[in-house]
Amino acid sequence: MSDELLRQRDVALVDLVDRLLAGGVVIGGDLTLALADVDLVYVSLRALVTSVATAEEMGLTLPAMSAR
Amino acid sequence: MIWLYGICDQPAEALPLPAAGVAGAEPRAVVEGPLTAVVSDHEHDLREPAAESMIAHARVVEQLAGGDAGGVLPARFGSSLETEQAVHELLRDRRERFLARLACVHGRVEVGVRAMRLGAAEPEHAEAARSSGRDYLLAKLRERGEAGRLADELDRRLTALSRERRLLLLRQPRELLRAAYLVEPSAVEAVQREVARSEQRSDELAVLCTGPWPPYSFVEEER
Repeated sequence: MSDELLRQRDVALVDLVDRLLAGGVVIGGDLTLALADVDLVYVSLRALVTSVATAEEMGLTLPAMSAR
Repeated sequence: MIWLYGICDQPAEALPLPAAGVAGAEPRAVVEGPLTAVVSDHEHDLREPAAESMIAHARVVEQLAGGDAGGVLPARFGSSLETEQAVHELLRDRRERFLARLACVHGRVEVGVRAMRLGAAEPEHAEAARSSGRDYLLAKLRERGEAGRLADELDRRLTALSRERRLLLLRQPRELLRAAYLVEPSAVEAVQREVARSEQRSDELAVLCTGPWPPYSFVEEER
């Protein structure tokens, strides 16, 4: 896979995590994820970014559109 | 503990429920009137925000968003309720708002766009700073102006293609635009064309476009 494609995948992953943590319906005080845990997520994400293939194996499509 | 993936307005039997969700649990539907919550049951709290859980959550949401019957309001990652009763109450209490938002996102997708200023304009600045503070400020203004103006124009054009648009918080000094657009799937190509066109117009502007996503950024009315 080209560097460009890999970069796009990484960007898509970052965008996905942004959406998961900052978007979506908030149901009040019941968020399992405490704010302090967010750092942890980014640590996990870095681990994930190194193995995008795993994400695909798990059946998640990572949409990334290139304008170029 | 009950993990919440999203809220739909189609009958439970029409939902494309995947076999496995977070921690391998099987997602199921909780129906309350016209609304259906997709949840899974867990004996213990899932406090660890593992990458695997995020992917599992996202995958269930994607599958729900891809169904023929229509839309989903994704739940924020980590949303959980104590009892099934609480799920029913949530759907009852916010029924009208959920239905209104579902009607809006129905059949539409979210596209994320980030525009960034490229290039090191610093040497020019340093020179200008030596000549005069006024020139420095003017140079800085011009530089922001060019890429910034293109980003603003791109935002206007994409907004025109969209049912709704949300501006998201800028995270880096170089970022000029971070936004989400809610569009018809058929408009995604037009979005890509606009992005490509604005990039071609300046070496100072880079635009990243991701999607199509489920409507994570459009679960609330615009404030």
